[in-house]
Amino acid sequence: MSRAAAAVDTYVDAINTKDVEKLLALFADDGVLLHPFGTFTGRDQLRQFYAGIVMQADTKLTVGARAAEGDVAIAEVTGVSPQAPDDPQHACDVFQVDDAGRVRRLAIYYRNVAGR
Amino acid sequence: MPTIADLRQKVSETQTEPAEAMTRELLDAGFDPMQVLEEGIMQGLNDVGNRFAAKQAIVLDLVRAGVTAKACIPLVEEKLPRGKTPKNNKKIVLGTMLSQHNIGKNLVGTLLSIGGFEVVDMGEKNTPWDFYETAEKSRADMIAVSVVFAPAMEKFSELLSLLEEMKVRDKYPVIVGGAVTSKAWAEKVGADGWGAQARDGVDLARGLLGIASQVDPCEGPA
Repeated sequence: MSRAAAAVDTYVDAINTKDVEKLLALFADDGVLLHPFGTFTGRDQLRQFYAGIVMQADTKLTVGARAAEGDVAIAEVTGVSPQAPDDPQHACDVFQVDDAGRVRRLAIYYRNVAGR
Repeated sequence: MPTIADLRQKVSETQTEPAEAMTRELLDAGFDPMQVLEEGIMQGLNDVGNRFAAKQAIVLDLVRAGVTAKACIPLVEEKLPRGKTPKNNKKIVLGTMLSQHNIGKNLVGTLLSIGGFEVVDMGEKNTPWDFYETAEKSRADMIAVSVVFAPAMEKFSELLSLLEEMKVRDKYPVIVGGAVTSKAWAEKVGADGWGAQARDGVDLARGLLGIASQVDPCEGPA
């Protein structure tokens, strides 16, 4: 498994177990998240976003189709929150990792939301 | 000077810090706290819920809107007329069924307390058995349930069945409210009352428990 592919699994596991430290350790020091809510750079901003918003939703992620090559992995991710169990959220997550396998850039694109 | 409609817009856009500042500004200017709460904060929250229902928002928008509302609500609560209503010796068990959401539940609890009721707040993620057990142990006079997502609706019906089964249904009037509920649904499943807004919980409790209104927590600024 490539480093980029492994990052996908670690990411999903960290979200599903609400392990924010594991999630932050996955990112490079200057790692960037590009999300419909904004751009979050570095661990402080990432912590605020993931611990304060994402993990509050108790979302469980599953990965559908995926591909990885070199330092890039692309995964089709479905998230289901107990707050809206009948409305799964679909996204395409694009990971770019550094030589150590840490995420230096993650871009998340939502599928089923108008305008996103 | 911002308006309550401006506050609703800020909450709807989940802009926490501007919404918080605007809430403070409106309250300092003498706006009715209940109006700020219901027409500004809660309507803004509802707007996000409606966008979610229309698939124009994601679950994270709901979470973020909750964060925004939770930042604003304590400012309103500070302005409510606490301590003006005599205690009425009626005890109400209050909790959220299944879900971790607590904004509406907490508001109802605050208004009930201000209205003179003793509130046994069970918190979030409760089961029907939790409500029954807490009501029995605390010798409550009424049960109030917050139902904010579909699976909890079924559990609410189970609560009513459980109370029947335990032969205590007549002992506890049961009221319900929350984002996914409606008056028609509440009547259909056999609830004793349904509230569209937090303040309705006080009116329902007074009506069902035979309490005459003395000071209305929803009357206006302290």
